[in-house]
Amino acid sequence: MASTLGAPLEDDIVVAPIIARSRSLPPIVALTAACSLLAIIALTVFGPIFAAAPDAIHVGSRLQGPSSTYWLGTDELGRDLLSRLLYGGRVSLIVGFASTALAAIVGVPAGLLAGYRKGVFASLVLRVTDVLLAFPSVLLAMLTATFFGAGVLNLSLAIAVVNVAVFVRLARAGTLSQKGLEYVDAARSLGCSDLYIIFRSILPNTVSPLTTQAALSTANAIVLEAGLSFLGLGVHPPTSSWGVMLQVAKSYLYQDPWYGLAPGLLLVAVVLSLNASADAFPLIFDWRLRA
Amino acid sequence: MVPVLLGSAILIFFLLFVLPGDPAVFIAGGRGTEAQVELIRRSLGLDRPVPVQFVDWLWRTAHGDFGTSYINGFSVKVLLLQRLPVTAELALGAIVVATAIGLPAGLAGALWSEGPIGRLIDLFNAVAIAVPVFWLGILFQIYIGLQLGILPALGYVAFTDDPVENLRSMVLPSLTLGLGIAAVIARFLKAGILEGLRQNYVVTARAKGLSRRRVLFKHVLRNALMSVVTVTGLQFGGLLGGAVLTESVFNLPGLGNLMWISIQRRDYFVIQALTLLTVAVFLLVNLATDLTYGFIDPRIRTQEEQ
Repeated sequence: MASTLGAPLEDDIVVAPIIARSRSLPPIVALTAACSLLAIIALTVFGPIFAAAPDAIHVGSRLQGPSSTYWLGTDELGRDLLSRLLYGGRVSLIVGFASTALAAIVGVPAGLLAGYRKGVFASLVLRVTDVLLAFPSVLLAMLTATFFGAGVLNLSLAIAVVNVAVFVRLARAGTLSQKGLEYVDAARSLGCSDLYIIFRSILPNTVSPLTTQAALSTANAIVLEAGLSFLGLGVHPPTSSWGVMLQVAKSYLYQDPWYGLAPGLLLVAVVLSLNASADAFPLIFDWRLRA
Repeated sequence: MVPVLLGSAILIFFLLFVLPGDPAVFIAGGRGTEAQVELIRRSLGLDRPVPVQFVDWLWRTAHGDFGTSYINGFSVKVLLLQRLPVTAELALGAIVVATAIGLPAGLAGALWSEGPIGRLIDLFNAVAIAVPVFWLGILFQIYIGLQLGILPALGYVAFTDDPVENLRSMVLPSLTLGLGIAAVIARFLKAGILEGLRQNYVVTARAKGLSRRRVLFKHVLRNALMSVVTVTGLQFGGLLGGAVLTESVFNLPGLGNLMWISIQRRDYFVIQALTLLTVAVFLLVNLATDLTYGFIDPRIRTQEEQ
């Protein structure tokens, strides 16, 4: 590692956090985490059906604490906090999952190809990821979010750019470790095409760390979305998101502490369950481990 | 390092160029006519072709001239130097918090890994990593700043004005920014020590009569620190990003705050200089991390001498 002068983020360092986590958590923890994640997803998907309209303004009941009418109280305009929380959760989760999917769809094939073949494409991909990884993620997200503009789709794109480099590096590292093995030689001697070898032989053998990373990236993306919305670079009002709610709540900490607590608690719950169940993701998605 | 820096310069320049919003329109205000905007654009040199602007900017940056702000006409260097102390103090405070909490927590977590203390530390780590910095900041504001009232919840006092008040105002921001890093340090230190305790050299050292304490502190800890140094270096980048959010929560007039304002106002030269500075600092920290390996691990030192 001492020879990494000038190339700050070698593959081993990018992979290191995942290896360090591989001391697997007791299944009960991962299971609980997965269940609470599913519960929160279900809440944000089905909850709004039963909740009040998130934009309905109840003049005269501003910044109220929890009550039987408004379970979590109301915000500064007299809107129901619970229903804004549930609708906001949709935005946070959609951005989280969509940006990770985008990053993986672009990053994994690019990493596989760059690892399989040396050449102009490989070195170009590596240089680009070098540059992307040299930016602190919040800073890069601020720039890309300003570049793509507000809105759920644009925000997903902006965060996908931030998260893509890790997928490239992981897929490449996996490919580098696999391509010298005998089964790849065997496939080649059978006359399989390069694309077949990459996607049907190598990819399945490198998929485990990628699924773990997908969970971690989703957690990261949800926090980034909240951070950007908190800075005013995310979704625009009246659309709610947990970050937007926290940004506004910041001004009313004294009058209504619940306003600042509730979105953050859910945010932590989602990130915590994603992080804790990340180790279990290979068990779900890696068909060899299941068999 | 230089290619990465150059690559970031290109990325940031062209990202900004295609950014929606024109600084000339912003300066002219809402009521500027087409001709006025055109005039401003020309006076700022924004009417020139992009590659010309890029080479011109790169040439001047390489000579230490970061240009002037479009908005208030201040030299970018002056703006940066004004705000650098705030962010530097915040970063330093966060690193102090991170090591002061992370190292003992990691050590304790490894020593009592089976018992309730170890589980408690694991739980703390998991939660501290999951909590977004801006929400943690809000929590500290509500419970320590407002309800207990022992520390200021907002604002910044310059060290030269009032050193005590300055330190008091930086405690909560430093805790906010440092706690997540403390958890990462604790996690890696614990994993490193537990890994080290399983090695054969530990058995050998114990067999030749060294005390447990000596084996732990002289042999195992030293090896475990390698991965801790690596992650601390890597966390530094996150720290610079987290500073933007922390400064926003606590209304600190630092570099992160400048970045946020400059993005809002399309103040290109300031954004460019700040981004390059951040990337450069991040790369330098990584370089410094690589160099510390030699200090910690004599095996690496001798490898390089050979």
